[in-house]
Amino acid sequence: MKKYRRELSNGQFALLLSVPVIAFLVMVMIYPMGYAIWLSFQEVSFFGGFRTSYAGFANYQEALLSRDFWWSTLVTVRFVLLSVVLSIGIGLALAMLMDRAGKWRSLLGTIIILPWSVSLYGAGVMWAYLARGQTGVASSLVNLILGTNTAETATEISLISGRHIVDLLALGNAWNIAPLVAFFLLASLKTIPSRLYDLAGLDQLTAWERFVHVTLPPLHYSLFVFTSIAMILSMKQLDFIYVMSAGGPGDASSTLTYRLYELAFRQSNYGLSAAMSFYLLFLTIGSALALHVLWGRKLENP
Amino acid sequence: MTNIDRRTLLKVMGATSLTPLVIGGSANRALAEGVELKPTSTETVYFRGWPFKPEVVADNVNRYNSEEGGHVDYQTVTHGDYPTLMEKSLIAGDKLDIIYGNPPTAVRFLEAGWIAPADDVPNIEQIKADMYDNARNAFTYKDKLLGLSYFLAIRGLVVVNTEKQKELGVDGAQPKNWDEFYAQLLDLAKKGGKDLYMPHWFNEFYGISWAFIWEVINRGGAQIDPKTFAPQLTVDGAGGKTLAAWKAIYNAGLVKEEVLSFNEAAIVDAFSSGRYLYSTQASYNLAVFNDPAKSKVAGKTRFLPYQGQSWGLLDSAMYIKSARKRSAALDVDVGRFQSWYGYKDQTGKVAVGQRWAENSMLFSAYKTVMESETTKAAFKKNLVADGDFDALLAVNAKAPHPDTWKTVYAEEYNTYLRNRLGQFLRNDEAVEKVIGDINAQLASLNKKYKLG
Repeated sequence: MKKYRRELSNGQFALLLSVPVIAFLVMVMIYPMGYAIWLSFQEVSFFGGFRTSYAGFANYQEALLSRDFWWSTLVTVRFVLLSVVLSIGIGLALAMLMDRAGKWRSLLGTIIILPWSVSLYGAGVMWAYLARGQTGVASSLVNLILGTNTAETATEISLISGRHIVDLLALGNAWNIAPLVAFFLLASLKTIPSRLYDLAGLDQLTAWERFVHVTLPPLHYSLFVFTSIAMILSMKQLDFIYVMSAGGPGDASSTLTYRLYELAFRQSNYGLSAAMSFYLLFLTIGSALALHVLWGRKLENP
Repeated sequence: MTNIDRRTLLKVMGATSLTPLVIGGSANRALAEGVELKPTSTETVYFRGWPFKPEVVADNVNRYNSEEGGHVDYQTVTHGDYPTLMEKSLIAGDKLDIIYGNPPTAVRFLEAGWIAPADDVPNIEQIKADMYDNARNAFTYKDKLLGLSYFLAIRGLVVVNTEKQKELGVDGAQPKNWDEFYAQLLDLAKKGGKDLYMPHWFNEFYGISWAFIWEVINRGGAQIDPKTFAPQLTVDGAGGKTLAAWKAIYNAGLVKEEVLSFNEAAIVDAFSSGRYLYSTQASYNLAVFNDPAKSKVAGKTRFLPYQGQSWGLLDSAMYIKSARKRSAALDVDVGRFQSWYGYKDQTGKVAVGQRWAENSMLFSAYKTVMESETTKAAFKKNLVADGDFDALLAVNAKAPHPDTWKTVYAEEYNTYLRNRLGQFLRNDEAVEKVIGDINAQLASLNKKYKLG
């Protein structure tokens, strides 16, 4: 009698492919993660010789009672939300532009990918100069229009303010991420049969209706994946913020990652920074899970 | 003619033959006194600096390597967070032998056991004797010399755009102290003056926090008691007056919010543009401001002289030796390189210090450097008026060394101040609250480190 081999389900197959990577990640992560957990329960001191003393949940409690922690959490949430919306929005717009570019697609693609290839350090320096009053793009444009270009007559318009620095950082962050989003969405756009647009034309759908009913549906899964990626990249963003605004003006742009950096590296407060880092981890994992529940699961089970 | 006897002739001949050794021999005094600066082994000495003119440092190091047979490996690390990076490297036990350090950093590192004092460096007695008293005091902690002189400068020197001063009609009215300074600014602002002041409020470890610290001390106040470490800031005293003045000029729109996110390069560029009347800067930036290739105020930049109140603080850095485990031979080599680099080389010249003074307008702790005619001539090239050199020395002589810099928590206090002062200005907080919070933070740090 012929034996039938049991076929692997999609999930099992995916797990099989992922196991080597997961195993490698676990091996690489297990020690630092374990050490961070241990540190979060310690009071660490270097003076008079390195020593630790068990602090229980004191570091976690201190974080929750800290005004700076909650302020940084708020800044982080705002920064991430704006970054994701801008990254996906700009990425989608660029993808659609490249899709319709015809013979100019290669040139356009080369230009569009450039922001993604710039180091975050370099991007931070550039955006800082673009935003400042004396050197910035806003001042240049206004003075060009008004014809006031001397030191005595020039108007200085700074885009850096406590109220809007997070918006500016999100725009710069999105400038860096959007090209990556654009290229992956372009790949998805290429899989949409042109016949569907012909049929939409026959049905006399408007441009907006064509976008919503023909273009968007095949992109849903890619959009979900890149929303998750953009969200996680933004949650852990440090370099760009460090260089462009150094968490300022004041602490207006001190995200959780920046606050952690200050605590761990400038103040050598390892216990508290380790505890705070786990709050950031919970926030990141929680946000990714929430996104999956609200969006991803619906895509898998329409 | 007088007959000379044989004994007298021999005495004269002997004295004559010894003369070149006495005159030219001062150049070899180092060797003559038994101070050898060549390395004893072929092990590598690791020297890590921040990126200020690394090409000059590399050239100095190459000279030691080629002339003295050294094996010094020099590299730079990011400036903005140099103390932070060095601290992490020292904790990790990285290969670090000679690093830079400001006095508060050196105090912290010494207390943590990461650096060794310089008291056993070759030639140390001559080194100490050659230092100015205020510099030796800045470099000394618990009677130990923390390192050898890299540079000194006045940070918080109030530089003046003399052309703009004339335009605004204030060239005859030099403020004598911070109260007069802010009063003049507010008065000019009321009359419609713009771009009057670029303050030292940038967002690096030596920015806005240091500006607060020096103003308090310049006004005759203190952050902490030198013996008990008890917090000393009061609302009616120097701390409260400083904050009140800052709030007044910030709320009057004299200082833009973006300054709180700047780095030092940005405030240097800002003043070099020629827009501003005053700025608080490091004294060595006078070389930039009076350089026509780099500044639009070249030939027009002077500074407020000492007129009874000090300006700024004594900024300084040292060459510090790490306390990592080394072989006995390497330990000797590190000390010899530290002495060569931080004081006199094998020819008896304070070559490195002299070069910084001549090329970069950096003060030195050593009288040998500061009192040389070459230094004076080099400084004068970057100054506008004849009397400016003496005026600069006078400001330097009065520039104070901050009280909190003799504590192990100076850097943590610095980080706290940086955030707190930014919040104070942006959120228009009450002076009383901020003074209370700063005092509470100082008390908390005293408790953490068991001081007082």
